[in-house]
Amino acid sequence: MTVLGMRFVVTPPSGRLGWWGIGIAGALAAVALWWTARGAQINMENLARGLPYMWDFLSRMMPPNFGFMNKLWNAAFESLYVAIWGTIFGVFLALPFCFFAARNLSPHPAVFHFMRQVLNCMRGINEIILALIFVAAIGLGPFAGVLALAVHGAGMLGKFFAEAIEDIDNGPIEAFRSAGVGRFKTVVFGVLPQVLPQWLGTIFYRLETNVRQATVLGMVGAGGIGFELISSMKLFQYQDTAMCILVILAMVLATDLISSRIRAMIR
Amino acid sequence: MIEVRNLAKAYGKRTVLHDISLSVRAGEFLVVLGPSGAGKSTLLRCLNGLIHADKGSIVIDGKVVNVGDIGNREKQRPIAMIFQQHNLVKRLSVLKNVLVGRMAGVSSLLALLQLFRDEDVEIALDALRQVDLEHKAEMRADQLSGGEQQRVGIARALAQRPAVILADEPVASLDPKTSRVVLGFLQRICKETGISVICNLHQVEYALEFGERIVGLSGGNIIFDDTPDKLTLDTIHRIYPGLEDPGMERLLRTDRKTKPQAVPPLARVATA
Repeated sequence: MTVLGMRFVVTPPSGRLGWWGIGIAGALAAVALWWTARGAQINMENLARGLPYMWDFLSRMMPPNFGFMNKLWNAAFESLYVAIWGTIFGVFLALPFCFFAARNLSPHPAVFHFMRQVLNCMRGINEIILALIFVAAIGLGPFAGVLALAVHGAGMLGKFFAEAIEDIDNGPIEAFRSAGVGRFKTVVFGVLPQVLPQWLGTIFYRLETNVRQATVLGMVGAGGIGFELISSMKLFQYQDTAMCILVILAMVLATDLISSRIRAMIR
Repeated sequence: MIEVRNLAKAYGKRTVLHDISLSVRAGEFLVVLGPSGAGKSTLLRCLNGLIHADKGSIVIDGKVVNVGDIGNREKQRPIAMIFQQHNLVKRLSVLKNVLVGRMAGVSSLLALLQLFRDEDVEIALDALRQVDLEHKAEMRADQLSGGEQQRVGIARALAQRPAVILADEPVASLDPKTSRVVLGFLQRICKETGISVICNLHQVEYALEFGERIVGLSGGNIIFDDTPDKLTLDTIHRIYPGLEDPGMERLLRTDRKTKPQAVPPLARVATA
């Protein structure tokens, strides 16, 4: 059928219900979305009413208090240290898990599934919640933040490490086996050289994420610039808050830039 | 000297190898000829324990090794293997790839510290010398050409000081010129060191040129086991059913006439 020189070119749905099926599915999705929107109390009227207040908040932030920088240096560096050591601990925590969480190296499918679930659990708990737990356990300070990032990061690193191991070329491994080389040496000389570039990429990606996370850990007392951010807000020093946000932005952008350069170099 | 006795292997109901028996003298170059799926690869893998055979035994240096112990290094001299895709670790140096052949006897801790016995390093370098690649020992494996990588594969097998080298389609992914160089090295090593070679091939021409003896495998059975000059067109048709290749007849005829068995000109290439 041609209308005004245009033709509707779509392959008809292959299901038994045909176009009716698409219609019903679409209607169901629309109802579900409407339901969730109600639950989330999405209200454009509220948004419109709130706009002037947002503007007020922003104008109170201006201009940022650059003098506050003197106080921020230490806190900013503390966040960076937390990110770096959170990453390092995360790597070491992930190492023992990742070999067993890789389908091709795991001694038994049950071990593989168990290890994957352990890693999922580590990854499943948000850094802030982990930080709260560690602050309660070992007290306020950056080390609680390091541990929080390490546990969450190990979950993610372990999974990515394991997936890199699953993607290796199995040929060399077979050659090692045929030469009677034991499991440990096979991992050191056959597996690690193959996964190293990918692992390094993953580690730097995790460092990026950790820098981002370390800037908010201070909100729950786990060290770093987040503490300054939250206290300046509580004291209504919005110009100081603006300075904190600027520093956080600068840190995150700088690590992303440096880390993506390094990752490009490894490949 | 290695003797295979009544080796059999089945995957579920599909029998891949029926009761295979064959023997190879020390320093003999045996070619196993057969189409894909004839069981050539399975045969070699059973011989070095990568696959466990269902029954049978092998005799190495007069010592009987039963199916369960094949590949067990305490109970037998090593049987080394060369693979179609060379199976080198691409990011490791050539030397370290060859050292894999010595690694079975190295302590894990020392290996982790990248420490190897002088003696093992000498054996590895000597193996590289035999494939004429000693000057590339420090290069990364992936910087070498396909033919050179396969020669490193040969050196790795040599470094194991094996009784037998099994070569599974070693030249299947190489061009004709490189293939002949690689097979030339393998043949020379076989003659000079007295290591037996069992080499899977699917190209009849290479089998005729390099094989001292040819074993024809079809459907998991040995249907031919003799010197290349006994190989007839009829046998080739039994190994490759339905083959239509007018050149094959010519190949067999010319081969009979110009067979300079002992040391082919390739040996010169090898030493060059």
